Amino acid sequence: MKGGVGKTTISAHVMRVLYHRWQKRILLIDLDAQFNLTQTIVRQSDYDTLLEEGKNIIATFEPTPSNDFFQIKKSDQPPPLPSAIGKRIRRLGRNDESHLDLIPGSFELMKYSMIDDGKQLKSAANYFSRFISQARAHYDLVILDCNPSSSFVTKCALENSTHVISPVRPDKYSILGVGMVDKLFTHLGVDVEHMVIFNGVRRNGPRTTVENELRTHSTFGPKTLIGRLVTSNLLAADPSYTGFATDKQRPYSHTLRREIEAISDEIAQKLGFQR
Amino acid sequence: MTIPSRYRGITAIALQRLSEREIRSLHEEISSMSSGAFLELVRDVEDEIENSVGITLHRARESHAFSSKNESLFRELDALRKKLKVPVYRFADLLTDSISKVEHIRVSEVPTFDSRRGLQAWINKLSKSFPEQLIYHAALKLDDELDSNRDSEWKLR
Repeated sequence: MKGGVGKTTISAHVMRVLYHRWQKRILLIDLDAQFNLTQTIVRQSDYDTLLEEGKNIIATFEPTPSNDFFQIKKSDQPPPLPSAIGKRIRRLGRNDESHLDLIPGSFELMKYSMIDDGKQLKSAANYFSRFISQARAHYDLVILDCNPSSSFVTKCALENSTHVISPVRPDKYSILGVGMVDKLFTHLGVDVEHMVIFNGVRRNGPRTTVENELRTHSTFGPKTLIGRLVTSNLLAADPSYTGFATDKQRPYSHTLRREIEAISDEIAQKLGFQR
Repeated sequence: MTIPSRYRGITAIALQRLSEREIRSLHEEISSMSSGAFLELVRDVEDEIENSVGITLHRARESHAFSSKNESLFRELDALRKKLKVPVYRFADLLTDSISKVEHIRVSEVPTFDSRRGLQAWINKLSKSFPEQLIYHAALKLDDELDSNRDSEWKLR
């Protein structure tokens, strides 16, 4: 998907509400070399500590510390458990029965776009696959926040996914992108359930021509969630605030939370969650 | 005594009627925390409180004859019905027809509308047979058929 359509917004703010409302164990994985998801919810000083401790996304592709920007370390050892390389962001219950964890992103992820040795990439892809299999045993939901390009990392994410959420803005280019994402699934031979969500619409605003086109489309209409993410200052990146939008105590935060709750319920239903 | 506004947060601690020892121990624990860790702790406690309130509300809603489930779908469909200016029974007929076309099924396979129970009850029944997104899609197709001036140049294929 295009940059700026709301992938990180969904990964952070919708999943934060879903975790709390459905009391699930959710793991967020920042798969973008620009690590905006991490920057949204983790303070810089904490991030520096996590990097020093080797707690970041690179540890899901190869054993860390990684020696070389152009080499991928191989290992037959099992990848680390998510708890060893993640950060607990939220917890609920006496024994943290529900929790929201994050595997922080890293710029080093760029290396997998630079390396063109198929053998090395295959080793990283296998390692990542094994990591995700382990994570599935420990979490009810694993969220992979991808970068906009169709890179090696995105391919790894799709190959290990059961569902894909494509946020779209109600503009012509975003809408056309939905069809391309579906084509990519076919090319990669991945079998995923595709959900589409509108982001950046006006609260109580009428449906635009492009929104209508998508919602009445025979393939994508039934895949499009009814709930829409509205344009809100609370969801915009605020340089003076690190954390979840729905935790801010500002005008309209309660309204935004109710709207996101409706979206999280729709997603939870699609995922087959039971209370 | 008037409590200065900056100590507003302490009223919650005061309401707990903690012993002096407990207050000292709490102070000690919080003093050793970074401001970030303290903030996270407060947010987690907020979640716990909201959660217990949320569960009570959820139970109250569950026991209500018309659950709030499908409420947003109902609101959207009713707004659409008003826009189309059709009575409820006519809208139910049109939507039944549209769902049968979208799903390639017979009209008789779509749950029947019961005018005594109303639109919301019917939508609840529908959503047990079809995903909500599909029902909404079928409803919007109705709207689309009646307004052909909204075509865009570049179409999603």
